[in-house]
Amino acid sequence: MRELRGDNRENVLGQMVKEYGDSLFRFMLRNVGDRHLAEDIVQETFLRALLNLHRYDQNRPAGPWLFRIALNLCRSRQKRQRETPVAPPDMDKVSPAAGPENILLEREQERELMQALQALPEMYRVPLLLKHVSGLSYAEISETLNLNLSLVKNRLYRGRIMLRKVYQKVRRENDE
Amino acid sequence: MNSCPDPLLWQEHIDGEKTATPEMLAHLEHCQSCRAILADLREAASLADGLALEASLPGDLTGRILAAAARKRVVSSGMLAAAIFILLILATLLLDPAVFAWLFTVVLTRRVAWIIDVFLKMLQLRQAFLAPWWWGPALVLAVVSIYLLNKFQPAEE
Repeated sequence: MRELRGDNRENVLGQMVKEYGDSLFRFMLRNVGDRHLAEDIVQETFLRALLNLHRYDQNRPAGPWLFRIALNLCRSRQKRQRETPVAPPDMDKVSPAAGPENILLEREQERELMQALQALPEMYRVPLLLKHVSGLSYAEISETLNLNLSLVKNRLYRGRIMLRKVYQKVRRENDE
Repeated sequence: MNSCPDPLLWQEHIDGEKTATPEMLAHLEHCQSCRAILADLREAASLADGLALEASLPGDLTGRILAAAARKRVVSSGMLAAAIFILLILATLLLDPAVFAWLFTVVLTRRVAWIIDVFLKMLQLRQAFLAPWWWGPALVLAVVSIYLLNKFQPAEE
């Protein structure tokens, strides 16, 4: 593995941020539910990646490696803080053309969906987010979480079914 | 295909990981149960798709990361310098144990002993040494004494 120095390091970092920055940020935003914390974790992820570039095999895609670093950071922070992440209503998703009632409705639905998501155990929540928020393939999820492919498929399957079940329950509770 | 395919195969199909085989599609034509599973999976996947969002990172992130990396390097260099300094002191002490002995037995002991002596003498004289105006002269006296002790330190020390 060759040593990366100066400009080369910056180029590799720039490339990584360009390629994975947004998807990593979206994943983290959904996982921790706080914009500042998500930004902070993503920054720390890339910083660690930069400081450990010599350990990264450049012949392999960086995505799973970065997501793994981010997940470990996220776990250690949550362990330290011991607080349940609660997602605020997200402003980014609402389309500007939507009317005020639609905006309210969309926010309400999103809040309920986030509530359902946070109720899922991490083993189902994380693969779901990697698939639906970051758009990772089964193989990439498998590499990120260090699980075999069949386990990834299984967790996605169960996670989706569970999400729908919890979501319906949350909606029923809110309607009552 | 007589038996129903594994639901995970339908999941792979809707996720675009694997295309359903012609046999699977033919099976789907006449199997209500598989159609229900597929519809169920589509609905669950579409709900999960609702988790996607449009957020993007702040533009200056790369710059911030590089700056943070530079700060970390400075801290690391500082720690390295401190480690080298400590190593040098330890090496000096190991090479010349007399330095160590001199530092603790002569310099420190003498100063501490002198301060205790003055303190006790003041107690003996029953002076109101706790009154604030005593502290200034006492401090000056202590500093001058330490200076004189250093200046007239015997050569053998």
